[in-house]
Amino acid sequence: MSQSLSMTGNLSKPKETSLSGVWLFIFIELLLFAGLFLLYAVYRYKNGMAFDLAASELSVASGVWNTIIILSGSLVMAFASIAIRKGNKMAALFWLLGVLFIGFMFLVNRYFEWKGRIDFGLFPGSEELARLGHGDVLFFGLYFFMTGLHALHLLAGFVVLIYVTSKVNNNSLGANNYALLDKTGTYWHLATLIWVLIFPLFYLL
Amino acid sequence: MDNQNIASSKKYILVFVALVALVLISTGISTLNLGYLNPLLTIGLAGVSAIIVLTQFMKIKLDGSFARLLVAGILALALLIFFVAFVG
Repeated sequence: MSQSLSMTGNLSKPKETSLSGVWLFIFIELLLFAGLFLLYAVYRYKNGMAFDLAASELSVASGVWNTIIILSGSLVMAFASIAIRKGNKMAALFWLLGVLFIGFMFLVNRYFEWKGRIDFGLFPGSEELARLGHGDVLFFGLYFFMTGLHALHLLAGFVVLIYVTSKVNNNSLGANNYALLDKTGTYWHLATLIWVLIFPLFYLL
Repeated sequence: MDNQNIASSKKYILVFVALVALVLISTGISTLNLGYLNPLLTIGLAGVSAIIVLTQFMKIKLDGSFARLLVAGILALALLIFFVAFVG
């Protein structure tokens, strides 16, 4: 199987079959989020003022911080990929544990951000949010659903990363068979890709 | 690390710095009152960031039809969001 993550579009090549599966999965994931982004756009068109006011309730600094955290996760994941190619097991383990730590930091930041909104009563189904109006209900409904779905993707990546780390640790993955680590990395970068699109919609617009 | 790996590490660090710079620029732009340019620039920069992640971290190559479909999809989505949400 090709160790490159290139996608030339020729799905009939046997050596690319496994990676094609990963890219098909990624394509479906992107379609799912594309639908949610369009839903956001339609709701925002209908409730522009309410979305502007609701967005001001979110902490831009927290959003920026989380974006930098998840970008650094992708950077460290790339370092792990380089280390495993070189056959440097200890470095690969170090970087993989780094990715796990960074992913954990992202989720902790997400928890505190959600907690802040929930403490103010700004969560779907709350009386406080219902009082603010339909636009705010839609904004925070989308905010909790999309950031929650993204966090679930990260949690799934977390589980796979722990599995990959254990495989590297017991020498099941190494310089000669690092495809699983590459696929996991591609999935992790997908979470980064989705976040760089979510971040401006809720925090900057 | 051998030279190729060192080059890769440096490249990834540069990509990371560029992505962080794009985030900070987007955040800075959001504090300015530029009218329709605000959402246009913010969504545009997000699209550029997404394409950088796709091509550099995910290593998708732009010479394939599937890759071009993904990139075109992201650009089309960005334009759709801008026009639906902000131009109507």
